[in-house]
Amino acid sequence: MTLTIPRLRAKAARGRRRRPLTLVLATAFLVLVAAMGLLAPVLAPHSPDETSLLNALAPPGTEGHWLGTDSTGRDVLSRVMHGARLSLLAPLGVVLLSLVLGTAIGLLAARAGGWVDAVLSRGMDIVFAFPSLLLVILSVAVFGPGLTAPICVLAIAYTPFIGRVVRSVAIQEGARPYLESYRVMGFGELRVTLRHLLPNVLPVIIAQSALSFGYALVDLASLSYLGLGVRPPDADWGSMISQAQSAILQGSPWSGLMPGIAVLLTVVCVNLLGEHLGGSISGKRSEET
Amino acid sequence: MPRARWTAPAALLLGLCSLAACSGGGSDPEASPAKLTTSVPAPTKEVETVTWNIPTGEPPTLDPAQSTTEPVSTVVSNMCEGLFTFGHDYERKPALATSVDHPDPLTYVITLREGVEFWDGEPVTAEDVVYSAQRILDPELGSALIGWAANVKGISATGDAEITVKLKKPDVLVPNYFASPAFYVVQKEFAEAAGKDLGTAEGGVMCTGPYKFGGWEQGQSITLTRNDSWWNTEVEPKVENLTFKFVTDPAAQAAALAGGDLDGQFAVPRAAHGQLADKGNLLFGQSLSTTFLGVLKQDGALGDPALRQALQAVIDYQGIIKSVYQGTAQPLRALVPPSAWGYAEDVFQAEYDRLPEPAQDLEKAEKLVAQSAKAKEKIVLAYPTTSEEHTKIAAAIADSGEQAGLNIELRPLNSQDYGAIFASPEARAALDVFLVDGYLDFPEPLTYYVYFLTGSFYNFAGYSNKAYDAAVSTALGLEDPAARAREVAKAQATMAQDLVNIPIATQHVNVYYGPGLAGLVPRQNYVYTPWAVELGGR
Repeated sequence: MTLTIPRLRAKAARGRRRRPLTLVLATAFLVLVAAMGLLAPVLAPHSPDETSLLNALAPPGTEGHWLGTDSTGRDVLSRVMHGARLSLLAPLGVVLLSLVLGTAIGLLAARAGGWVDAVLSRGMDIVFAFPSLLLVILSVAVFGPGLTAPICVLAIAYTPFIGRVVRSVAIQEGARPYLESYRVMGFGELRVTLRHLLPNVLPVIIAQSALSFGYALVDLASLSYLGLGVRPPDADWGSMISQAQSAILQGSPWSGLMPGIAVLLTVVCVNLLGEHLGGSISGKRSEET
Repeated sequence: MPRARWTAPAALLLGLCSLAACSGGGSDPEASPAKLTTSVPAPTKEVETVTWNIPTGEPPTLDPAQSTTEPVSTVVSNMCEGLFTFGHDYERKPALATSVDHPDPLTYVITLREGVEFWDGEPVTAEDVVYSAQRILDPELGSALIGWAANVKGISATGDAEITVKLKKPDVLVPNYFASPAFYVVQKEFAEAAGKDLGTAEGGVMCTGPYKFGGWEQGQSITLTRNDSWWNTEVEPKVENLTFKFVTDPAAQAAALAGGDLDGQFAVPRAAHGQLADKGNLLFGQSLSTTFLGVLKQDGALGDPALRQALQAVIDYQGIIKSVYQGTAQPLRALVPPSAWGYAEDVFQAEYDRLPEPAQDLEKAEKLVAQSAKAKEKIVLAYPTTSEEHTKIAAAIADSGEQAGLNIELRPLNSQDYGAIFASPEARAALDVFLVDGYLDFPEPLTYYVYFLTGSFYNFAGYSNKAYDAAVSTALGLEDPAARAREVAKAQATMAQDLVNIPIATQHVNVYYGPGLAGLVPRQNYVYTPWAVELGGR
């Protein structure tokens, strides 16, 4: 017997549509930022922690400092480049953790149904009700400054975002005949879920994760802005903006403006990417139904 | 949710752009040294209300016995008075007392001013004075002022207008405290009735000074009103009402001062100097302050004198003065700044000149580190995140230290955790050294050097040097200024060599007040004298 299984990643549709320019630009920018962070030790013109008090608040274009220096004379470009590492890695950690947790909870709720579904769904509703930044600040109050606790707490806070979507899609998929066919063939529930249901849910997870990445980046930047994130002298974009407050008063905004622009553009690009993924998936799902 | 989240970075960027647009001019890290103001034109007009900001926040109490921190003292110094007060050059001037006799090294007899009344019209008695002084000595009250009385045997009323202070052993510092909050006089009857509520928003306070407690709306403001029955008829306060606000954010302070919502404040953040210089009166004065690295333990890396010397050698004194303090400070060779030499200046100057000039020397630091067996050990440097200057200094020291081979870990602390360093051994346990801003109560170097005697409460590092102890102890008993200065200088030289405290700089005190005001000269002693009586309209 041959089964024709509908896959959301329909190969036929691929390549036929032209990708919007904004999406191409967003993807290119994100690749550039990731490469910049990855290669910062090689590409950055200075050490990110190298101070020069007598050269503080040098404006952009100063020799040796394309983007100027901050209030302790550190090179802004080098700190933005090095800052990209923590600023991107930390939200990535949040997304990966919440992805695993959310997928597991969503699939379990959808497949088990009944009281298990009810308990897990209400649990996600409760977590969903708490403002994520408040939870993160509480975690810092309990565990002290640093990024480990905030990453874990944010991951828990973001789990319902993925868990609810996964549950919803998995319930829809569960009603389709191909899963029943696998059961008839004698495959176990776990194998059916992981080998045959999960691949069809995966595109939705990826789209939601891309959106979560943007939110996590803003949350973690806000945390660093409040002085509760990375420990000095480590650079990340949020702490750079925070440290630039007095420089702004002194008429030297660039040391805060540059990481601010980096946060803004990265979040915009990630959201564009996420929304495009989400949109194309829902479009394909509509076509199939 | 997604749309809402998009607004966060956009607002951040827009905020930065607008702030940048509002801020005027460029930075000037090469700023020239600030001019020190020693006199200004006297005020000519009455002012109904002056709104003054306390940048360090709302005072926890207005109890004169707790007038040891800037927010409390800024307010209380206008309400309560001691037996003497400090003049413009820190000279002791009569206040609630008219004279003090010193018949023998262990006795001070103080004659009280007659006819002085509390705000409610009741006369000030010797009983009130003794009650106020003894109240501070009650350990249960927890006043930091208690330390002055280490050598005091007793305080008693020896006449209707006379009190006597007896000492266990000679202590030349004692007369200075007659002009400090240690002798601020509160009405005994009022204080006893108020009990623990004394100095609170509900309880208030009853003193004799030029301004009366008007009200305290917690979280909002404290109001003082002029005491038109003040005994000191030589001075005519021109401000009728003083309203204190508690704006702590530097950007908000700058905006409120520039916009006129606040009329003035002491300790204007440096970042706002450029913005305010052209708006009103931004004045600088000589201070008794000292910024230094205080070693907290000697069993770690900094137990090695070579590493303490290396730590001193990595400090970029020139950069700190020019960039961090924007020229409003001077580098220090010793813990106590020259402005605090209240006597025998020639003796102090000669000894100060012998100390090495502070300068960054990374090569020397590198050599010292290379010689040390503890070079690899971590040095945890704590500093308060509330201080922009400390944050910059710490970052610069950590970077220079790394270049020299020192393993410095920065430990930024919020104000609560930083404050705990002074009170709790547990809070200090994980730290090696901390950045400190301190100031002397009056121009007597001994007041600071006694803190580092063997076993002293503030001697956190457990520093002990017999030569140092002998010099300080001898100086405490010497009435002759020159002889005392020589002993103090010996202690100063010993400490400069042992480096348990690494001096960095002495900052100028500053004040800003709007263009419609006049008369106030910035002086360190604003925390102990009724500074508002100098202020008025122009």
